[in-house]
Amino acid sequence: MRIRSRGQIAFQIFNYIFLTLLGLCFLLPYLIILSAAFSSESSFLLHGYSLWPAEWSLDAFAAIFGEGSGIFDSFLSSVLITVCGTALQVTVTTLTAFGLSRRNLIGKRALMVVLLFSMLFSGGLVPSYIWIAGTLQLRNNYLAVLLPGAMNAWNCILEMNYLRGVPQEMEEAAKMDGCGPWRMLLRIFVPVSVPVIATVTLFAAVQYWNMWAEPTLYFDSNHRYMLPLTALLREIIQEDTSPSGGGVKGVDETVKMATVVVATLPIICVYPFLQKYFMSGLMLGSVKG
Amino acid sequence: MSYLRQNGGYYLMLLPGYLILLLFSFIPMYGLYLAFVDYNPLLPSIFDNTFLGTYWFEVMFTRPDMWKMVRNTLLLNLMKLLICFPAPVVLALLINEIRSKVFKRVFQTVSYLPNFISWVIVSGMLLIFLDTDNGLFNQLILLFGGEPVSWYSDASKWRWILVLTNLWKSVGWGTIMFLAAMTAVDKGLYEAAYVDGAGRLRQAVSITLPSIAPTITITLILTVGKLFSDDFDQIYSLVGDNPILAETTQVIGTQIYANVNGGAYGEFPLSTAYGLVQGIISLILILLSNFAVKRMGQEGIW
Repeated sequence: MRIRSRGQIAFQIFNYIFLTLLGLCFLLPYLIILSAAFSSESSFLLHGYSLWPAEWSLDAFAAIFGEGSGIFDSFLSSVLITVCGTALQVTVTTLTAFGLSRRNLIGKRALMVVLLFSMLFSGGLVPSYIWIAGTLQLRNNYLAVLLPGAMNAWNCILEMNYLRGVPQEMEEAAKMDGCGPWRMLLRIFVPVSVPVIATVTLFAAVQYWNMWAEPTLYFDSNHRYMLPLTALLREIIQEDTSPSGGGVKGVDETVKMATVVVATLPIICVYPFLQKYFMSGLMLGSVKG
Repeated sequence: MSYLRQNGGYYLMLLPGYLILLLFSFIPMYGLYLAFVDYNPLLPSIFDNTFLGTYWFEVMFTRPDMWKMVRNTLLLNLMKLLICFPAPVVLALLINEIRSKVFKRVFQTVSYLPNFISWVIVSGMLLIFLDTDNGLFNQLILLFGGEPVSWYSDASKWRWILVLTNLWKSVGWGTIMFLAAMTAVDKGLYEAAYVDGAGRLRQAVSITLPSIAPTITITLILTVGKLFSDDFDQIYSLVGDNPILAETTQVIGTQIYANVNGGAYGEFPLSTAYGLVQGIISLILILLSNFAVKRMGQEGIW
């Protein structure tokens, strides 16, 4: 723990410098995007990407939130999907995890095998599409993107591992007092599981906020207002990543960057505050019982 | 009876979760039958189609893009295994040597952030660097008198772009489990090693590394188990339907998605066959790697 030799001092200095530079690598893209989003289109075309706007402008954000851009509709759709999806997934997953974490539950082994198998194998995209869009007729329906992710096996196992760490005496004392399953869950387990529930809430929110493949698949061009922001952003960016150079729909570069800012902002704002929870939630949840 | 009265509530709690699994994981598997028929999307049920046996699986091997997709998948995953798997271990060891709590915390916050950002956002960020006219890379190349590169029509660079963006996004988050394992190490071991004259490097190699070995093995099983799966989300976000880049980036997942999204019904049976073969190989790989780890006397993932 103590610094002893010259070599170790040199290493410490190198380590701090290296990690500082690495940290900058993680941050720099955001800063450049922010700068582009707050630049005027003309100065951006002249100077390209930079760390500081040559000419400040809010035009890009005005364009996003202006009428007829469709981007604001998508923002609202993203909020709807994220709020509903997260509430649904956290409820369903926590209930399942709590049920499965009960000792001596008859049929538990079989239930675990089913859960594990669902993580390792799936029918794939085409069968799911035929089932959801064809048989269930959920095209252009928010349920098509909300329901399939409502049960998250990974998060469920994380919660189960965490719940295993809760002292058995608490459970027995509660049973003595005549606590039924539901009161046991709400009064005893939820309060002690705040870190892991906060962790899976963050994971679920990020999962739904970042979802684009399913909405693109299930919402057609007549229901573009339903497309979440990430899905819309992908379409906008695709123009630039096609080899012909694109520019078909002619969305300004600064507007694209402003959309990236709006799409990233909720995550950047919320995540640092949940960090203290997921550090402990993830660590305790991952320790195998 | 009294068992049910006491525990019925627990089964009720399991109901929604297992209902979702049944509805969206297990029932859709009937659609795998599609890989064995002459598909007509107008028929009411896929079971009304003519049965073709293993026809589509034979067609698969006559398609030149199959080998391209297999090669791309394996090469990308091998590069990720060599670069993106060891990187978090090294980074975690470096973070562990930092003594300033504030620095450590800020660095961790910043390095976890990319994990929460969608690949679509990353594709927007990539424009900063790769855009032909305004991108930083081309500006730099021009500055040094070189010829600007048209990144989005040069397939040869994209394996590296995919691996490096994956490294950027995952390296910080990857440290979290290793750091957790490191906090569990008995501090007395370091004291004893110090008394015996072991330096920091020696302590890292002889104490820290062995103590995180189980976590490393588990991460390794998961990585090896994914050798045949493809990172659809990453590749389709960054590359999309770009036909020129397909040479080095197209994988089974992106091709299936493009077919389904484009409504190419004629391709559905073949796509299902591709997905089925990939799914079975992936399943076998993960079962084998978990089995291997258990044989080595370590704890597997289940």
